[in-house]
Amino acid sequence: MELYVVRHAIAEDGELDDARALTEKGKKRFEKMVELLGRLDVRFDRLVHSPKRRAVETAELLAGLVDGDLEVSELLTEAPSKALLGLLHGARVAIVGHEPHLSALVAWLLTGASAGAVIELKKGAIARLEGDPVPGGMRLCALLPPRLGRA
Amino acid sequence: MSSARPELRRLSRALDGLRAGPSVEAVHDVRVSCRRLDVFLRLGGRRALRDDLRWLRSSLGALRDLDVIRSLGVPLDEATTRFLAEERRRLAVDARSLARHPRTRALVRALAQLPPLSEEVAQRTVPRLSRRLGEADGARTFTRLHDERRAVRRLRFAKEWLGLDASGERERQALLGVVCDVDALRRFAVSRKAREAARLLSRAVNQLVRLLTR
Repeated sequence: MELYVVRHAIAEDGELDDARALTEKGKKRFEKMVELLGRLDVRFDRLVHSPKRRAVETAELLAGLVDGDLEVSELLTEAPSKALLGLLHGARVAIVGHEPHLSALVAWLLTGASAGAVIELKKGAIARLEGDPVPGGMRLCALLPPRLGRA
Repeated sequence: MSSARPELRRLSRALDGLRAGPSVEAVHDVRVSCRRLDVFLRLGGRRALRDDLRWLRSSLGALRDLDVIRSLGVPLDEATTRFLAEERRRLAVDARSLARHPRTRALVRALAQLPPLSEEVAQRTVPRLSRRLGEADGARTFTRLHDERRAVRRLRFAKEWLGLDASGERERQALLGVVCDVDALRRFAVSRKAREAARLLSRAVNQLVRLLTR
């Protein structure tokens, strides 16, 4: 499978973490990333996202690239787990979540070990992995930093 | 600007009812809240969370159909009555699990963060919903009537979100609902291989369709 690991775009500060919305700049910049994915003919079978507002809003921007269902999951607000891997089914799946959990997930999928991030995902960045969604079963194919959308 | 909060409170109460029962009202109320919130998202031009709402609503579809059949007051033989009661018990177990399901929990958490509806954006969506109703109007078959019912319901909820008068849509929806309820009974008769009952109900559905599209 192809897995696109997406960190939410730039969000406002705020005391209520769940309620933090994307900033206008965050939305505009991420729209450029979506355009880039569109130019690369990227489509998703499904998209799983965290229930936090900034992740929901990032998922919303990606929704035009999704042919199947969008699904909300609290597992993306926690350290990666086997239950989360259970949600990764399909040929082309995107997940939208938060740090440090996404880096830990990528490390786990690439190396089989969850300790120590192997990559750093900036806000609005996307990592593309391929393989089986099991610990150590995937390889990193691309890392798209947010500035690539503006290039 | 409309907020989704009051509807979310209704959904949460109905989910409590689902966990406790689930009563006929709780099942109905969860489904209605899901539809209302779906229209809220449509009015805001949003796609995220709509699939989750559809999942929750449709997971209760079989139980709701069964409740509708039981509520029609049609005299049924003992075996069918027993079958319906056993089916309801079975589906009730699934409904209780659904109320505790992680996806339901995540959905409620995400809905709690929805910003109020921008009326400017919402007003742009209403004509589209009206057009959909126009396309479904003039139905001559049950399927088209079913489409019309869906379109009327969406337009009704949209108008209610925007504080507009939706009495016409409410009335039409209730009328179309009668046909759909009789059709639920017809489908049940077919599934139970009650051929004569299915034939009579099919005739009743066709007559109702003709009456409503005259």
